[in-house]
Amino acid sequence: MTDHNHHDPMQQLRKLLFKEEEARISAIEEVRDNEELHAKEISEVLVEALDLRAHDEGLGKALMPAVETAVSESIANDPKAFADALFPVMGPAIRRSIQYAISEMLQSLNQTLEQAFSPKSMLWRWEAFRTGKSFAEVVMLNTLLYRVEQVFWIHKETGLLLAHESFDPSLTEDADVVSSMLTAVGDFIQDSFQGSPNQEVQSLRLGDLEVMIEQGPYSVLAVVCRGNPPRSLQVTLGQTLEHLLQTFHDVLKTFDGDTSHFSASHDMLAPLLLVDYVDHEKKPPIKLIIALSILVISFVGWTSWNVEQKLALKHRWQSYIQTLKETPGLVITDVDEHEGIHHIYGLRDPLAIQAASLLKKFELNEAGVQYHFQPYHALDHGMMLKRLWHLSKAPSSVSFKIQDDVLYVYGKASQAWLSELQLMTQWMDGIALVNVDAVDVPKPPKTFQERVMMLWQPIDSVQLHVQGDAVMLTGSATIAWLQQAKARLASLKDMASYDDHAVLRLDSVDYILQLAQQALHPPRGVHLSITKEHILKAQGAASASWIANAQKKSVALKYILGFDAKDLKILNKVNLARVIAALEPPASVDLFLNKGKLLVKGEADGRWITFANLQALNIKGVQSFQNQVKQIWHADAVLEQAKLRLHPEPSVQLSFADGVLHARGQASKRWISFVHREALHIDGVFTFDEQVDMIYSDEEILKIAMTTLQPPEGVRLQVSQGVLSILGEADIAWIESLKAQVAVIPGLQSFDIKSLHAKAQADGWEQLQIQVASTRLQTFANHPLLTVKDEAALKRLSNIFHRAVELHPDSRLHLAIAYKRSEKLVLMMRNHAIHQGLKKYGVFESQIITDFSENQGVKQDSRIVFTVIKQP
Amino acid sequence: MIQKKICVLGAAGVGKTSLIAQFVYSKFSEKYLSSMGVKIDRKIVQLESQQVNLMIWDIHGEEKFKKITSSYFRGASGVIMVADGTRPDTLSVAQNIFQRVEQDVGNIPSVWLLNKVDLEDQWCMSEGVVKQLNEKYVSVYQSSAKTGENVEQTFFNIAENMLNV
Repeated sequence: MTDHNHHDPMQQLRKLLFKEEEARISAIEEVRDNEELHAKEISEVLVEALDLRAHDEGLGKALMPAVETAVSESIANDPKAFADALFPVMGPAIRRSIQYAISEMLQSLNQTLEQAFSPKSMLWRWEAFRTGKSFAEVVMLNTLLYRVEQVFWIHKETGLLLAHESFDPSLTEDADVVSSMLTAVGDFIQDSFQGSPNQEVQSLRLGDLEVMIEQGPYSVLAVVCRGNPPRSLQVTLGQTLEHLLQTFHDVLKTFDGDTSHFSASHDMLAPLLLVDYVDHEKKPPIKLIIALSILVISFVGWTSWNVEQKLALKHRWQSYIQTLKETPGLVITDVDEHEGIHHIYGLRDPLAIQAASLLKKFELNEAGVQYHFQPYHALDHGMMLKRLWHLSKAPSSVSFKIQDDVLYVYGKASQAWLSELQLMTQWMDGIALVNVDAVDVPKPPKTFQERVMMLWQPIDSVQLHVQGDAVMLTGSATIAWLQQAKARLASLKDMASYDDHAVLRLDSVDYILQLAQQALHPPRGVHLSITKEHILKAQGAASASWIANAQKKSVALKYILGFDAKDLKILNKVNLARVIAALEPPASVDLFLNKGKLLVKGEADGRWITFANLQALNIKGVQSFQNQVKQIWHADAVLEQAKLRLHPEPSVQLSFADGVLHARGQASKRWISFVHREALHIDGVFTFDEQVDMIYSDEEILKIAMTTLQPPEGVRLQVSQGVLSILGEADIAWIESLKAQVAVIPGLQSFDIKSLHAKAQADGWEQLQIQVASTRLQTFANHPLLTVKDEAALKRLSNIFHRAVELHPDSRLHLAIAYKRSEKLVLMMRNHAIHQGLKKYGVFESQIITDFSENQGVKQDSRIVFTVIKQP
Repeated sequence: MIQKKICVLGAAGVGKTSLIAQFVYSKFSEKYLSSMGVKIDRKIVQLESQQVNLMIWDIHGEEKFKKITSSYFRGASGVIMVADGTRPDTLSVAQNIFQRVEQDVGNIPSVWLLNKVDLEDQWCMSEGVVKQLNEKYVSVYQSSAKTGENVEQTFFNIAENMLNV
């Protein structure tokens, strides 16, 4: 192979061209494959490579296990070397930590000492003793404004805890469970109260603990606070949550339960562990100073005000007493004060003003004054005039004046009042004379009727009646005039009542219509009415001449403003009158004649309708006749006709109502058949209601009895007055079946079998044969149902079988019965369970034998062989 | 550490709370179940690869007039469906609940438990039913909260299933 390559021209050419490159590639491969050389090669660039990736987090992560292992190994081998290396770092760190701890302790100690001996601290010590808490805890609780004790950062969808901060590390243990439970509580509240998705729980409170919750897109921030946190904390929470979202947005969005990504959140969450205490620094008691100042100022102000009030009160009191002294009708004799109450003594005219009424004017308290006045009559002019006004009840139209013991009266007053005044003043002190020269004495007032007449004069057509204070009108007038009169008289305040019902309203619609009816005499078929606009409206049909005349007359009628004949048809008066005269229609029929065409409508009995049909076209001028009259029937006429045509038997009662002819009572079959054929041919009878009991003749009853009972030879039947007599001899079975068969014979009142005797009993077998031979079944052709007679015969046949079985309990019994319709008999026996009655004896079979007649002498009849087999 | 939320679901009285009590020590009392309809416990499971912190939501049993609050399913990474092996009707209840979970949360790992296997004389689940369940769902166990049979295995199984998703 080597030899081959050696002689290969291509290889030789390649060697010549790439000899140098091949040597370099070989060197590189050697370095790569030789670990020692490779490590040496990498070690030369390792520092530069690490330097280039120094800021790459991935490098740190990659190196972390190796570094951790190296550090562990190093410490295990030689702790001193590592301690020496860390000494410069650890020293300051430990110092800083101790310094922080001492600072906190001093602060706490300082706080405790501050409270140690104050009165408040004594109370807190008592509280600590009472509740069993430490004094420091009580101090903290009383001085704490608020403290954020825990911070939960929770993944919103899963409720998983992303990060947690706490002021007490022992609380972190169950933080993840609490986080989930908080989420569940939120869901529970939202579901329970059906909150919308946008409404989320913002806070929960338990005693002095409050959980404040800030909801974000992917996560929730919840802080547990003790005390009363400021509302600004919520804002801080919102800002922190925003910051967290910005920092961890991508990780939150794809959160798969790995919380290691959020370790960097500590720096953002820890600042939320806020705490604030009550500020106890000594400050000047500004509030106290202000309060005291206010108090002093208030006191001084109040005292000044009080003194001023007292002075003012005294002044007002003096003014009040002075006013009382100057008041006419009051004489103040003494004023004193006793135990805070003012007492005023003196005289008082009863017409003088009340002294107490002036108190308000002087802002004095009524409760602080007591009056001790004696009554007297004041004789000063003012009080005398007041007394005069009071006693004389003077009208407002008069005035008084007293001068030199003379009373001057002015104004208007009645003579009667003046007389009373003069009489009264004779006894009044201070008035010697009364001068009434200047008084205008009016004439005595008019009566009510005069005043009514003065106020209002009725028109000629109206009569006025005044009785006492009541006004009544009669006569006639327009509605408008009556309204005006009523309004005018309403000004009489002393009018007790006003009655104008008796006045005829000349322009009322009813009255106008009445006038029109009287004036125009509207023919039959014309209906007049008055519209609101007082237009006379005519409806119906009338002759042209009447219409023309009505138009003229109506215009002349007072209060009618027009005539409306739009709805009035023009009739040929002459023809219609003739028609009415010729046909004499009843009131329930209306006639319409138009251009020779006669139409009749309404209701009438058949006779008139027939008459009209025959007569109408014979009337002169009637060219065609249309009869739309509905036929009605008079019960009496129909009943009369029915009696004539039906000839009811004496025991039958007929009646007719609403087109129905009723028949009740009893009648012969013949009459009943007849009446059913005839009744509906009577005019007016639409329905025939027959409930008549049929009466049977003796012959009919006998005929039915013969058919029903089929008496055997030796038995004779007779019927007399509905009583059936049965005579002769018959076997006992036939006699026993009589009662059932007689009951179905119609018309039979009773039956008599006193003359019927039973035949002598043959032995069992013979009797059986006789009975079988005598059994006849009669059916009606084409009658598929069992008749009453068939049923009785079958029952009899059944009895025969029973007895046959009793006679021959151990053998088969063949019974042959000649019968024309044997197929039907078998069917009937089956259908009527005759078999069932025999089954208790064994098996019953029936068989049709068609040719079994010769020996029995009943040719061409069908026969039935009944076989009864007694079972062992 | 990885955290995962799992829900334990089923009809009332199938033994959910007892199963959890076998597995964890509860911080919260059971009164939360009757009042809020949920009780939450935590269990750290050490799998081969890593530790998983299971947040176990014990959700009250579904009854005729007390439906499960579906918002409790939200964010679940897995569900443990529990039926009572002595009461066949509880299996259909569990299947109905599971349908709702799938509608609300989507397709998440599930473990099915036919509980109370210790009550042998009252056991009503035929082999056919168990076979059908095995064909339909990946993980089906017969468990007993009383004896602890398959309880721990259930939680380990669901933890592994959740991590492998």
